[in-house]
Amino acid sequence: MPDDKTPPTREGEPLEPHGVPAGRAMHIVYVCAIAATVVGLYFGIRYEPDTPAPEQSDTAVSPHTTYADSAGVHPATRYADISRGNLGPNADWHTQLTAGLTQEEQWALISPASLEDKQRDLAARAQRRAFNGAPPTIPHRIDPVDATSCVACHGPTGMRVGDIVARPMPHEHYASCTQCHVPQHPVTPEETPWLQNDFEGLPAPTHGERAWDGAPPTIPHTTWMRSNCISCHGPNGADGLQSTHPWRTSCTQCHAPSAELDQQPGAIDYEQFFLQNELPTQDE
Amino acid sequence: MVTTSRRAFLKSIAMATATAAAHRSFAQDAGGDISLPVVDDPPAIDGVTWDKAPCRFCGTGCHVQVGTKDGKVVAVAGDNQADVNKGLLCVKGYHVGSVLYGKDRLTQPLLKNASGGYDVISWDRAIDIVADRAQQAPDRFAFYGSGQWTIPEGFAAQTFMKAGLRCNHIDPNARLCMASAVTSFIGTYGVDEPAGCYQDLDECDVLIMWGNNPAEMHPVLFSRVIDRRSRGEEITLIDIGTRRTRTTEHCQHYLQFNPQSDLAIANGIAHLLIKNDTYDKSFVENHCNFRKHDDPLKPTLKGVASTFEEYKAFIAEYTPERVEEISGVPADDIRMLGELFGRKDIRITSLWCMGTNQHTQGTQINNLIHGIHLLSGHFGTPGDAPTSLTGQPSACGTAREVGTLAHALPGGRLVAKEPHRNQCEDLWNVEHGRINPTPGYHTVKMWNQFCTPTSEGGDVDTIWVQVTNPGQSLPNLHKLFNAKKDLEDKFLIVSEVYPTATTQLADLILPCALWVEKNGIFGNSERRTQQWFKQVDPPGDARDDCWQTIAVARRLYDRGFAGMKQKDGKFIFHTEDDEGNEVPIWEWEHYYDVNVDKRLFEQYRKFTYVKHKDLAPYDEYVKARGLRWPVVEQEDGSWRETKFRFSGFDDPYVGKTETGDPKEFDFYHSTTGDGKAQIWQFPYVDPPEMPDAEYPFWLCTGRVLEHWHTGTMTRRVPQLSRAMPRAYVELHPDDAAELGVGNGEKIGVESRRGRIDLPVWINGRGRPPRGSVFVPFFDETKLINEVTLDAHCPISKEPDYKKCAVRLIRLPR
Repeated sequence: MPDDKTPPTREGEPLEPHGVPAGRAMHIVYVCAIAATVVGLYFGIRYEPDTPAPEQSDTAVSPHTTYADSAGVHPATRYADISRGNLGPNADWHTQLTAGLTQEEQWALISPASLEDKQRDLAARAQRRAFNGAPPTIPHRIDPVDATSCVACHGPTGMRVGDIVARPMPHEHYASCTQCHVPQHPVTPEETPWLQNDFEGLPAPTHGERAWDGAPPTIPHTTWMRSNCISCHGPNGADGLQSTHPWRTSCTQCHAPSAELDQQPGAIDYEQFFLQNELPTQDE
Repeated sequence: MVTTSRRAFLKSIAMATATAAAHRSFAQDAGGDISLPVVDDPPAIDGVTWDKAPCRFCGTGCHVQVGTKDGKVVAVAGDNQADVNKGLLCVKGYHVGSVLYGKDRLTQPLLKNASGGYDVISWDRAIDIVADRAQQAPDRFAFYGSGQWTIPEGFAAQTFMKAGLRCNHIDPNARLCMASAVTSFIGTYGVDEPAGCYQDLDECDVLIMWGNNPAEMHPVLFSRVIDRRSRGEEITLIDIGTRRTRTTEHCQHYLQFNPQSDLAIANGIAHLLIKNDTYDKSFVENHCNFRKHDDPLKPTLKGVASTFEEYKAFIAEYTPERVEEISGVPADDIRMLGELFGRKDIRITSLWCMGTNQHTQGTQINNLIHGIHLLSGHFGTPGDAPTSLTGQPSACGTAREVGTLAHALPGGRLVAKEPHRNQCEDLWNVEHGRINPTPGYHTVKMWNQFCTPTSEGGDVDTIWVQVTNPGQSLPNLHKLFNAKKDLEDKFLIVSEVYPTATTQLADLILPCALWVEKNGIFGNSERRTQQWFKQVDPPGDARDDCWQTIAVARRLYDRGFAGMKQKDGKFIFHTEDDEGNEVPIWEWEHYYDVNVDKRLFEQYRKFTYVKHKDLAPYDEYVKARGLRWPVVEQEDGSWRETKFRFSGFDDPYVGKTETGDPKEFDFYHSTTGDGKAQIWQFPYVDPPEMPDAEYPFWLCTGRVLEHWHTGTMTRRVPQLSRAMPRAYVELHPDDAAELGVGNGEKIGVESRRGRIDLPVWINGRGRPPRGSVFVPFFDETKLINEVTLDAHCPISKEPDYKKCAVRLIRLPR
């Protein structure tokens, strides 16, 4: 951090040997110019955009929402922060290691999510998807060239640091993450007509079917690209979608998927399901 | 409870999240013996009453709580008090209540008419018809049952056939399922059924699955193992298989072998134990003998004595490199197995089911696995166990223990042995000489004789089928089942709950009560006998299988048929009430006047002591969630079950040493009479049919998680059928590309015996290697068993559904 009492050297030095026309007026001009330079440098270094820090939300991963709310201003990094190297994709995230412990970490039994929590998390989830089944957009900045570091946080178990949660990938590892997942920054300052679209995406199902009270619900969505159930339903998933029993790791043992949604060969087959028979029924 | 639950959670999270540091301090004080939280008690719902029952499906033997309301089953929950499943079930188990309510339940007796349709007839007429068939040629009458027979049903059928008709043509579908396990238990230990129990799964450090996919077939047991990882325990899972399955995904090691070469792998392990000198010398010296077949081409159950030196010489050729050559498993992986078995500081459990049992060398491969556990001393302490699983809820309890097999008598006895026959004759209260000394026809032979014209020596003309579906599950169906269609003098009686592939050819269909529509007792894979009470009425005129058997016996008795009389002239199923008056249980209105199950069980119980398979009185099972035999009465009048058979620390029948303490191990039914188990030697031999130029692919068949066996029950449950509606053929992507077919496209799968067309599933539920396809057998409209082979193990007579040669035919688009 430069000290404003120290006379500038580099800027001033070259001036003298040139032997420009002497005179007090010119000296005043020089002094003013030097002062303006110094002041400019100082304020330049100290400049901070008038942008609120992203707010903390219960779901933790919501900078996308915050940016949209802040009229699309992309926060610049302060020069002062450059030396701290705080320039990564998540630089604008603020975390408290002491907050946001999961229920498990707080030594609490997991009770089924309330309808309110579930709806809140489904709504948050819907914000990042055009429709249920669309690949979610990326709610933070990424390295525009090399996205291979995604797995560092979004690996098989995901990551939780304080109140910041990186969901585990729900599918097998594909090397080109950005083929399907794209960041949504920067957002242009104003909504332009070409960003407006009347498409209404299919909402996510809210629950599976139960044969009866106490029966495990069927899986109401495809398991294609969603084979890692703990991605959404595990401890690093969304609170409102959490399984009450994440230690059970063979999910399909109890929860039946849908062959039709999974596009299983032969699933939609209009051939007769049972062998034909000519047995009289009881009514006959 | 709360504290342990919380600790358990922490451990699970320590496993599940990357932020281990945050949890380390909690995880560390969690300690070792924690139990995972159990699910909630059965939900309290207005007007619903709950009662226990074992699940209707597989051999695991989970207990469920059945919720009934207004005479219908309305809910099912895992039973928290059950040691087997601790409140957990699988997707089939959670929906087991729905199987009672398929729309097309059979509700009235049906007789085929001259035009090929069916007429509704009365039960009285139906019983007459069955009695006619039995009376006119008792020696040509066969009873085909299953491991889904309850113990009393099986005992009644056994009594009806062996003591009543004097005919030994009674065999269960279990012949197609675990016969090889039986013969190898007898060949190795002198007595059937596993020595250990499911506790081995809780305590092993290494679990080796031999051609086994418990993630789908025994899901609750598999969870019991992998859930240990959620508690922070380390366990090494090794899948020795011929295709990748859901189980493989949980395993550290996947050893993919060429079909049949499991024989070489087992020998390779034994080779290394000897070569590295890491076999358990004291265990082998004190507790084992060596045995071999005099003629490997005509092996027998007994074989001849051998020596360690002979064994050593025999095993010498199975070097890791030689095993790699035969099996395709890298020599280093064989060494890995050899080293694991050579270690004394770890506990190893082997698990197997149909992969080793449905094998033309089924008895042999079973014996070899027992052999390496004995040779390495990985036997008899919790976690060290060779464990064979069964596929049916009472394959052990009924088929094996009641002995509803063509060669067997109840309680581990044999038809061919006169003392055994005499013991049974006494217990049945019939005169000596009543039981026919010649074993009857085993399953494949029985159906072959039935499907062979009488003029060509087909000497079975009637088969009565109960609780199974041979029209779908027999191998080589064209030969062993479909051929019946053209044989007019053959008569097929089918006791069933739904129309099936078997009822397609039935002449007489008898509608049955199912599961909790009747009383019952099952025996599971770990020797656990489990009882339940009838909870709802069967629909329409459907009646208990056991009643049907007793009613036919009574009809014969009334006609003066001598076999249905005890030696004092009483009815063979004579039953009295508490006042000593005979109860006419052959009349349906009076069948539930007494507990017929209890009466039959108490009679059967007396048969169980000779082979030390002692059962407790019926009322003990009413109280318990099953008890593992031998169940022995204690001085205080309580009954104690046995977890680890032949181990001195647990089995009360282990002999004493000179100092009066129990021996460490005692194989007290040893075939050599010296308390020792037998280590057998068998070479690798090629299977009878292998892929060739004409039929270049291996075909393997099997089951899926959502359906139970032939799917007659589970396919009528929407939640299950929506998850798995149709059969398919799994194909390697490269084979599919070569054939020019894509996912969902239909291809023909054809063997020398038959062909069916199926949609291709690439990278589906399982992933076979190149040159190999897999087809599940649950779909009655796509009968893969029209393609399979009826070649079988020479000792157990169990067919091989896991390997035959097929070609794939691309259909015109």
